[in-house]
Amino acid sequence: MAQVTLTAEERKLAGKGVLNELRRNGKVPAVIYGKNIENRTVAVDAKELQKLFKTHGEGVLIDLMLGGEKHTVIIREIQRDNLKGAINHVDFYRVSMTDKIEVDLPIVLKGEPEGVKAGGVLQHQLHELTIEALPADIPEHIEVDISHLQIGDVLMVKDIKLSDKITVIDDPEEVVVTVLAPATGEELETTAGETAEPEVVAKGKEKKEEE
Amino acid sequence: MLMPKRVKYRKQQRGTIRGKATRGTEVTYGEYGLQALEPAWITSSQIEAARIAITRYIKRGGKVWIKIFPDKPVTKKPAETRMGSGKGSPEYWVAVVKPGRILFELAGVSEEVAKEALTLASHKLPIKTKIVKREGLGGDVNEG
Repeated sequence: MAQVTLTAEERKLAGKGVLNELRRNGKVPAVIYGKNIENRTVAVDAKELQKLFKTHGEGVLIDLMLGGEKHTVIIREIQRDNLKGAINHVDFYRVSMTDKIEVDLPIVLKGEPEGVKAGGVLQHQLHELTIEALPADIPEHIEVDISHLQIGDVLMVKDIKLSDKITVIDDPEEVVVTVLAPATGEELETTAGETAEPEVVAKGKEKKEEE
Repeated sequence: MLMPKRVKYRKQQRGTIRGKATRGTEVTYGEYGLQALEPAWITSSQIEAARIAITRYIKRGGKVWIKIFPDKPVTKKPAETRMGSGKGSPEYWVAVVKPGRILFELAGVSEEVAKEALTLASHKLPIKTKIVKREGLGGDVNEG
């Protein structure tokens, strides 16, 4: 996991109006919590945060400088505006470098499966893997080589090779990637041919009719 | 076309569409999605037209998910009927869509193909939309 520095400033006030004002001024309200510390409400610079996400993604170890203090944190949750994509709020979780933490790591696929070259369709079902490890041992993402997969092949969580320092929390039988057979012409047009059928009316209507 | 298999009541009141979508606002299954920017009733035939536009363009590659379902019946009185005598009979089905809702998702195709396919689909819909990417792929990155 890459380690970066981010500066934050303490914010005492809360409430919708105050936070909206903060957002208008280019800040993102955030909170720090974790083991053995009191919850602290803070604000970080929106541009700095966007830049951090662009270069390192969300799975990054952050040295959060708050006044004179340094907190080593990870990002627990990001609240975004669904339409504008702007970040509304961030949860920072303070970690201890000696305690194991549970995180979701993105799965990155490497290579083009042989099955896809033969006309199959790659279906990526599990995009994040939940693991447990010491903060220093956590990679930014998990790379999975899928170039050997043929049509009909399935890659499961247990097939992913990771270092001994990482424990996988997800079900080992969970499917990560499958290579499906190409869709036939019939399948593509199926629902188009169906005609409108009258729906079955349940309880409500029947009772009325009985009366 | 899409419609419920069975319903409790045949007719519904119209209702109003208020606010933004709070669920179904992220690309969950595929890599690319088509996001609604306006509130609307999307009819089952519009959904079907958009789906066909996507599948025809991507041909055999890729997979399409329809993330909305038309579960609201819309009634209509027959033509040249005098007013009164109760509510009309169900005519078609609509999905109630709020801004922010992901309508379709697409996976297993290149970005160019996905963009073009979703643009074609958006032309079949009565609302403004934008093409969005899965968060891990770089998030929200496209025009309307």
